[in-house]
Amino acid sequence: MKTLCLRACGRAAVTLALLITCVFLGLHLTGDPATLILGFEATPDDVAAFKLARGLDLPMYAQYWRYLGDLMHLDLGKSYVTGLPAIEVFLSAMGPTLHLMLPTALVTLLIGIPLGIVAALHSGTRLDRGLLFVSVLGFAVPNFFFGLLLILFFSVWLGWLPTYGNASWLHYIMPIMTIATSEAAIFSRMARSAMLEGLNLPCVQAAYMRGISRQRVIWFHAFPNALISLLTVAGFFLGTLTAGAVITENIFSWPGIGRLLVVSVAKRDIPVVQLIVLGVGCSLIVANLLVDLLSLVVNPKLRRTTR
Amino acid sequence: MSQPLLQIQSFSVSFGAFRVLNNIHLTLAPGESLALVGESGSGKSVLARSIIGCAGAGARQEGTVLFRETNLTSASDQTLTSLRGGKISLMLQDALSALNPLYTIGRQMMETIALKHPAFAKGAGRAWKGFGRSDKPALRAMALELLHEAGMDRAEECFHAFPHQLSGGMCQRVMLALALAGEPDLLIADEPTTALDVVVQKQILHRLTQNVRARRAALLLISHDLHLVSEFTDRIAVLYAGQIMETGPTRKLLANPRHPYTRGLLEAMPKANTPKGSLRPIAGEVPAPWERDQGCLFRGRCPKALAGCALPPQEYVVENGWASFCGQLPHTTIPHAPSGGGPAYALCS
Ligand SMILES: Nc1ncnc2c1ncn2[C@@H]1O[C@H](COP(=O)(O)OP(=O)(O)OP(=O)(O)O)[C@@H](O)[C@H]1O
Ligand SMILES: [Mg+2]
Repeated sequence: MKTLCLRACGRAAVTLALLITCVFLGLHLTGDPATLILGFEATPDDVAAFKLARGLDLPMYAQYWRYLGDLMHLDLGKSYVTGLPAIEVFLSAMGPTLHLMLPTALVTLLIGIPLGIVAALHSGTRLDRGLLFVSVLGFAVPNFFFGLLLILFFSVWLGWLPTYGNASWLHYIMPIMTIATSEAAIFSRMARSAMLEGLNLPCVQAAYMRGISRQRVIWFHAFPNALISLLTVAGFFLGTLTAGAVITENIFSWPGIGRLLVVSVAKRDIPVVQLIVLGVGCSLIVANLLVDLLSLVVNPKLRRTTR
Repeated sequence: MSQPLLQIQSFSVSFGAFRVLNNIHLTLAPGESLALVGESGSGKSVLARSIIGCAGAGARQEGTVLFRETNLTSASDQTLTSLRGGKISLMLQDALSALNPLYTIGRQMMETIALKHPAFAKGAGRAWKGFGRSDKPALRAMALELLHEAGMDRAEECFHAFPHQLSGGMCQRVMLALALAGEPDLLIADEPTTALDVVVQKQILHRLTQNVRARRAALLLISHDLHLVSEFTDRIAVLYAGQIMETGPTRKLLANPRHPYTRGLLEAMPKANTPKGSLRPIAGEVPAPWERDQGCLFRGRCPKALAGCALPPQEYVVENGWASFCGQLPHTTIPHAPSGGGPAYALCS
């Protein structure tokens, strides 16, 4: 058990190292940061001074080494726009994003899993096809369009919900609805196939053939097996939520990561952009690590090697 | 003689246009053991599963399966659920995959006992809840006893183990214990020992037949091992491509098979004293679904096939309770035995 946990953590660490290196290479190999940041109108003197100030005149490996050292101290430079440390800018945007994403994830799971299970239990019937239609619709309508529709309906016509910012719980309703609709649409399909897979497992069929009642077989035998295969998908899905918020945060002017990313890219605020890329990557890695550890806890079969 | 326990009459099962079982007639009296043998794919497992109403998704059934007075092909879900694992229990072919990987053996056994053992199964709401904390000690004791009964040496250890921690033989014993939990009157064992070594095979079958005999229950043993079958059963039915080829008393029939297919099966079986190179596998292959017609399905591979074999095979009664469905046998020797005097296991036709 302990070795397996360590192995999962090791995998996460390797991924993290790869991510960090990729971000470094991405920023340093795809173009000269000096021209990228100062713009093409900069004089050679300006460029030289800029390079000297940031150690860009050093050889590549030395720069990489410095970059790692800075990362260790969470010193990722200052935002060019506000002059505040990039990490502060990043963290102040992370809070609102997490506040939005956690309830969204919850709503998504609470809608997606039951819908998927209902579809699986009625697979092949009209209800199943109806749910398929609904989820295709939910997935096919783009977030920016659905968000605008919601604003039009709830804010402009009915005047019930605020459209801007994150001041009260009322502000949360429309962004959550926007993201959760499309995510739940996808997730319900995954839940459906996981549940069907669970129902068709030989051991579930065997339990039914032992004369255990249908309801009990569904909920005590098929469902736990389905949940385990859903767990892996859920990790990936949770990790991408932060990244997927870009559009929705911009529609609702949510002061979160997605909005910060758009603003920073527009203003070429490289340190902040770099930190956001690292942060989103980390959230994926952490989500996957949590899922790995959780499946070690719930799935006895995975614990096999150490018992 | 007493009333038959199980009567399968004109029973057919099709998946789409594929007739997997064709016009099966079988009877089983209480206390009797019947072997069902045949090549892989002949429909043995489908027959076993259709008896408990689980033929599979998309299966179309014709004919009747009578268990005592209940017609299982038209019984309600509720009746079938209470019969399954109770009066009729089925030991599945693949033991390891028949156990839920998420629960310990003990938990699965306690669940089955709580729902299926006559002493526990009465409680209302049980079908959903399974068992409560207060039942646990009794259920546990019962589970350990059943595991012992099934010949498990270290029952206590096994009780706490997860399925993947058990060997194939242990899994089969667990399956046997689970099948015995409902004290069945009819035990259907679908190749209970196929993947095991000979010693363990015999141990498990001994346990199984002992238990069945002690309770005067009936046994339907599915296998393709003719030696094993001749040791453990009274009667045998030979299935080929979903049709019964020959049925009769096991030893007598195997000593002197009348149907060319049974003979072919026997010649393809190795014995301890078989000289090297004398095994003769049956040439050819089982006919594909679209090649199956009303005639004898074995005629494509039969060394004695004649033009007449394209007609539906007639029943040839070798002696009372022994019938062979081959068109080449003389059909006049013994008239059908009148009911009353003969054994109850005569083929229904
Ligand atoms: N659910 C199903 N849908 C379609 N065809 C099926 C289904 N179940 C079984 N069959 C077909 O029925 C035939 C008989 O299968 P069955 O499993 O009963 O064979 P068997 O005699 O038990 O063979 P084995 O000795 O390998 O266990 C096979 O050709 C199989 O393809
Ligand atoms: Mg089979």
